Amino acid sequence: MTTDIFWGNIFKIKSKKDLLYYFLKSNPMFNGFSSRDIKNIEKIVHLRKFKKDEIIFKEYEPGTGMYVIKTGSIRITKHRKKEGGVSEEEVITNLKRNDFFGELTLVEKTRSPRTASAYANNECELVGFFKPDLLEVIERNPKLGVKIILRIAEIIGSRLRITTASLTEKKEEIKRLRSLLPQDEKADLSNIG
Amino acid sequence: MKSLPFLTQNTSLGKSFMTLIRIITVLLIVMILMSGGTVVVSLAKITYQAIESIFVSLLLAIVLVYILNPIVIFLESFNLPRTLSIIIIYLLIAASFGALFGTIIPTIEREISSLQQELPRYQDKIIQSINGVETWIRNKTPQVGNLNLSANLSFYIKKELLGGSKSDILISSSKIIGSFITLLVMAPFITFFFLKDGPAMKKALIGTVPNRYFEMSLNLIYKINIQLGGFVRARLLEALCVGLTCFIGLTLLGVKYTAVLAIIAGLTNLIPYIGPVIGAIPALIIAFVDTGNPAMLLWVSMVYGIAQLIDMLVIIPAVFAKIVNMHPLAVVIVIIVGGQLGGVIGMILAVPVYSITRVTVKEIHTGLTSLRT
Repeated sequence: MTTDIFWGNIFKIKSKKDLLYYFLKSNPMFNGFSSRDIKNIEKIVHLRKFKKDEIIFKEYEPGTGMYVIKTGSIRITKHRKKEGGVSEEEVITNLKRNDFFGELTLVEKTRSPRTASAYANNECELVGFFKPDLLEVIERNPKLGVKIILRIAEIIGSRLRITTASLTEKKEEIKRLRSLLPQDEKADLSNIG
Repeated sequence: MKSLPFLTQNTSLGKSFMTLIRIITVLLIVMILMSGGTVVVSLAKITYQAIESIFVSLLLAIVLVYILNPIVIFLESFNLPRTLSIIIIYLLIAASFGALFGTIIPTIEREISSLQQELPRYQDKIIQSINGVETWIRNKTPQVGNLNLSANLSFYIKKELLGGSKSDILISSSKIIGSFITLLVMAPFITFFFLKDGPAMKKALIGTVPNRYFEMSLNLIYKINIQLGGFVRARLLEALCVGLTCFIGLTLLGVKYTAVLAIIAGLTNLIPYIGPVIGAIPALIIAFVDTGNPAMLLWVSMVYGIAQLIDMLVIIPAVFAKIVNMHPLAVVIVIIVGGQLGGVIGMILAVPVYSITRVTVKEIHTGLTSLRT
């Protein structure tokens, strides 16, 4: 019995640790990082558990870092003004295991306001990686710090590329629709912008 | 333990907590063993002394962590493991102490014992001088009456400063040396663990904060750490510069006990505004009593003045202002309040406590305002 408790505890602790390690290693955010880098990242990230519908962060509140979904799923919402000035929360997207969100706050000015809210859809485990920890990594291990910042820049860059493509597409669509309108209505629209 | 699940062995905080408990237990045992010669003394008294010693050692360890952590981080940036970095720093410090024991420490020891022997002479001379001043005042203004300044001062020096007799001085000095050795052993021991496990302890502690306040707390701890670390390092740099300037100046003037006086100047400089004045008094007394030349008072004052000028014109604007963003008037008020609440210690701690409180209130206010929107 004693042996079971002894070995059981050792293996339980080890497997728990390994789970986070392997999760980080397999995550696209840290894809290509060496085992040593992942071990160092494991030391600074925070594993947080959220209950169903619990707030992860709210729009406009000061943000400190990003989250990677380990288990469960979350929804990202944003307030939109409806007719009559009433503000309503709209779901923008749902995210699942291995997805990450909130990475903008890592490269923005400290405690910049969040651009959207995040809620847990069900019981979930999130790996939090925050700016104070990133700053500590930059000081303690500049090479790893540069790697992480480069990866964040890559992610933000690719998201910006997608957004730009989508915006261009939408602009083209508006242009096309405008061309279909009669001349007097076109003038009205140009007044609006 | 069931009500505090985060303190169980399986959680990282639990492990850190248990390690801390183990360290404190070992330190208590070491303390009790160290005071083994006085077994007759009640256990309560030993425990009280041990706790007092641990508390002082803890405070000193925190200061040491703030001084050494940037060096550990610097070594870590060369890809050295944290523990190895700490060991390298400890070895370097041990080597420096070895060199100090061979050169500076014997000088300080000699100066202290010589000062102890000459203390009654200085005391008599001060009382004589005050007697002279008192007689002069009485002659000029007979209506003032008998002030009895010298008798009062003599009584105060004997009672408060010298503790009554020479044997008492020896006992108190041996006590001081004993506490000093305890600090020398315990503080580096605690510092080592704080340096090694500090990040894990911090992570475990912050892990207990509820999700809603997690980011705010993490940011708050980070800001406090930066403020406190910068403050401790800046104050010690100030003390070092003032001490060095006084040492050079007093040596050039040929004043006795320069090493001890420089240490006093550096340490008292930790007390803002009033500290430098307190630090200058022993040097002024020694210089005046030894030479009997009033001009010497002016020269010694000039040395301390130059030290303060360097502090105010170089260190404070270059280092301190960046860390503690406070109006000078606010600094004075905070120090006065600190002095009223906690004496000299209160004065030393006033500015850091104020700046931590300010950061905390600001952060909580930002957090709460955003939560409301």
